[in-house]
Amino acid sequence: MGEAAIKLGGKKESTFMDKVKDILPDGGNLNLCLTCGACSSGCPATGLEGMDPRKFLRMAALGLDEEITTTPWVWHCTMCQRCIYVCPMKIDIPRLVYYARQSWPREERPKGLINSCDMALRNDSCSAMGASPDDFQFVVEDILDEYREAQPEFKDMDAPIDKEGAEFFLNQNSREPVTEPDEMVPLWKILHKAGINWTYGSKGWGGENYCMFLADDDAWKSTVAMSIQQAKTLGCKTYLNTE
Amino acid sequence: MKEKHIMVMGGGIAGMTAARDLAGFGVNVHLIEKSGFMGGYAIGYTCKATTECLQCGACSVEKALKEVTESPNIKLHLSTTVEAVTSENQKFSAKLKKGPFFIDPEKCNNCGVCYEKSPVKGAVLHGYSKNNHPLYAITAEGIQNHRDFFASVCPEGAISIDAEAATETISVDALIVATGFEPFDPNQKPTYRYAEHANVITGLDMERIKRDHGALVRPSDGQVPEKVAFIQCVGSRDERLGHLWCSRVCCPYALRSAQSIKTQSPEMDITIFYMDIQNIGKDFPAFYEACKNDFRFIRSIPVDIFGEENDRLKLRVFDEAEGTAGLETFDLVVLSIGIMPNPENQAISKLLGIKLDDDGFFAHNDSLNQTLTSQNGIFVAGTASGPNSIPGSMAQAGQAAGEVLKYLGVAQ
Repeated sequence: MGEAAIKLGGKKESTFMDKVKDILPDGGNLNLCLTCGACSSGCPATGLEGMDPRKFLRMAALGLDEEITTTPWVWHCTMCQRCIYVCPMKIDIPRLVYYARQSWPREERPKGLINSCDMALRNDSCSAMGASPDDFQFVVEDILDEYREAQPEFKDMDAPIDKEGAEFFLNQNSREPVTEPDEMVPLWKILHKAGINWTYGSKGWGGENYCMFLADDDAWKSTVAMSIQQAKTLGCKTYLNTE
Repeated sequence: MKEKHIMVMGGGIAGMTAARDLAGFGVNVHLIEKSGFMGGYAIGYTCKATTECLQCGACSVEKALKEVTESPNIKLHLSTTVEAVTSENQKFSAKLKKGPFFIDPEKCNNCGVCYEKSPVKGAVLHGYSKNNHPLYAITAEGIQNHRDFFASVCPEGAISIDAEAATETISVDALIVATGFEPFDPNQKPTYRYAEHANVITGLDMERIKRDHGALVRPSDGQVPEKVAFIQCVGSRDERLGHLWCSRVCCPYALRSAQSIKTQSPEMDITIFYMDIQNIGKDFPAFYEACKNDFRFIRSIPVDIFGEENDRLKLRVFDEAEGTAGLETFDLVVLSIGIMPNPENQAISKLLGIKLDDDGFFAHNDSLNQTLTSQNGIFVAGTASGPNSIPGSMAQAGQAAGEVLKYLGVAQ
C-alpha cells in the first residue's frame, strides 16, 4: 500500500460561488464546467469589460471573489440566459451573474436600473416610467377609440382593463403607452381576431420588471405580487407575461 | 466435443469478429443482422491513410466481412430480427423473423439495374462491400409503392414482389449481443441548423461523401472546400441531453480524416474546435502533436452557424486569447457526432432479460470483464456496451468469443 494521503491544513473559506451553490437547486451545476466555451461563443456580452461567461465562471471557481463581485460586466449581461441554453452541462451562469449583481451596494448599481425600479415602486401600476393607473386607462381608451373609428373592420375590437373573469391577464411594457401608444395595437388586433378573452389590470400592468434586473429581490417581489394579485382578484386563469 | 451453436445478434464489426473467432474453434454460429447487409456502420467508413496508414481499422471490417461470408461454420441471417427468446436447461430457443427477401440471392448477379432505374431514391439500398451478396436490398415500402416496376425490372428474374416474411426457430447454447449504436442526431443541437444548411454535415456524412466522391466535397455544389471546420463533442459529454459519456472515437476520426483530406488537398485550411482532445492510445499523442502543425486548434465550441452567400457558413467564434467573439466564414462544417445507445436497447434488454446501464448501453456484470451481462450465457461485445472504436470493438468481441468458449467448456 502507498503512504497515507497528505492532508493540507487550513479551513477552506467559503467563497462567493459556494454561497450561490447553496442557494441553487443541484448547486446550479456550477462545478460541472468542461470549459468548452460554448457559453462565450453564444453570449452577446462576450468581450465587454474584458469578460465573458466562461472566464466569469472560471474566476468564480478559482475563488476570485473580489473580481467577480466588482466587475461591471454583470450589468452588461441582458439576462437572456443563452449561456445556460447552449451549455452542455446546463450550468446556471445567469444566476451566478444575478447574485454577483446582488453583491453590489444598491446605490452603486447602474443609475438607470435604480431609477426605473424606484419608479415602479411609486404607484400601483408598477410602471418603470411612473405612469399612473389613470394615465394608462386614458391612453388605452383614447387609442382604442381612434383605431375603432379609423379602421371600421376593427370597430368591435376591445382593450379591456380590469375585466372580471377574463381568461388571460396581460401585462404591458410601459414604453408603449407612454411614448409609442400605437405599438400596443397590433397585439390587440391579433387577440381580437383570435377571439381571445383577455384583460389588462389597472394595478400591476407594468411588465418591464426593472427591479429584477436591478437584482433587488424585495422590490421585485413587491411589483410581481401586485400584478399577480390583480390577476387573481379579476379571476383570470392565465397570466401572460408579454415581457 | 458435442456440436455447439451460438447466436450472435448484430452483423457489425463486433458481431462479425465474434462470429469469425468462434467459427475458428469449430463452433456453429448464427449471425443475425437486421438490415440487408453485413458490416454495420463500420463497413461504410473510409480508409484514413495519408502517405502512411493511420490505423483507423476501416480495412479490417472488409476483411472480417469476407471471412464471415466465406466461413462454413457461420450461417448468415440477413434482414432478420429476433422476436422471442426462451431459455431452458442452459439452452436458448430463439424465434427469428426472416425477410421478406424480395431478391433471390441464387439468381441475383449484382448487376445493379434495379438500383439504377429505381423510380425513387431509397427504395433500393446498396451495400458498401462487394462481399455482400446480394449487393442490393429492396425495402418493403419500395415494393408496395412500385409493384409494377419491380415486377419487371430484373433481367435475371431475381425479384419476387410477393415474397413474405418467414419464421424460424433456432436452438443455441449461448448468445452474444452485438447490436451496436446509433449515431447522434445533430438536430438535437438546433443552433447548428443541420437540417437547414447543406454544408453542415456529420462525421458519418463525411464518410459517405468521401466514399461516393473519392474526396471530401461540399454537398451543395460538389466542390472541394477551401476552408473546413470540425466541431468536436457534438452530442457527447452533454448533461442537457443526458449523454455524459465521451464517445471516444470522434477525436481520432476527426483528426485522422482531417489528415487524410489535407493530404489530398494540401491547400485546405482546417480548423478544429474542441474542448479537449481525447489523446489516448499508443501512437495518438505523437499523431496529435503532428496535427498541431497542420490545423488550427481553437479551444472553444461554437454554437451559432449562420448561412451566407454561396452556401458558405458563418460561425461565431470565441477567441480565448483576445477574449472576444467574432464571425468567421467556412465552406464546410463537420459536426463530430458521437456514439449513442441503440434505440432498440430497451426492447432487446426486455427480450433477453439483461440489464442496461444508466446511459442506456448494456451493463457489465463484472467491471473487470466487459463482456459479461447480467444473464448467464449471454455476452456483449462492441458499441452495444458503450462507445468504442473499430479496434476496440474487435478486441472486446474477441474476448466475448473467448468467454463463450470457456462457458461452453470448449476452451479453458
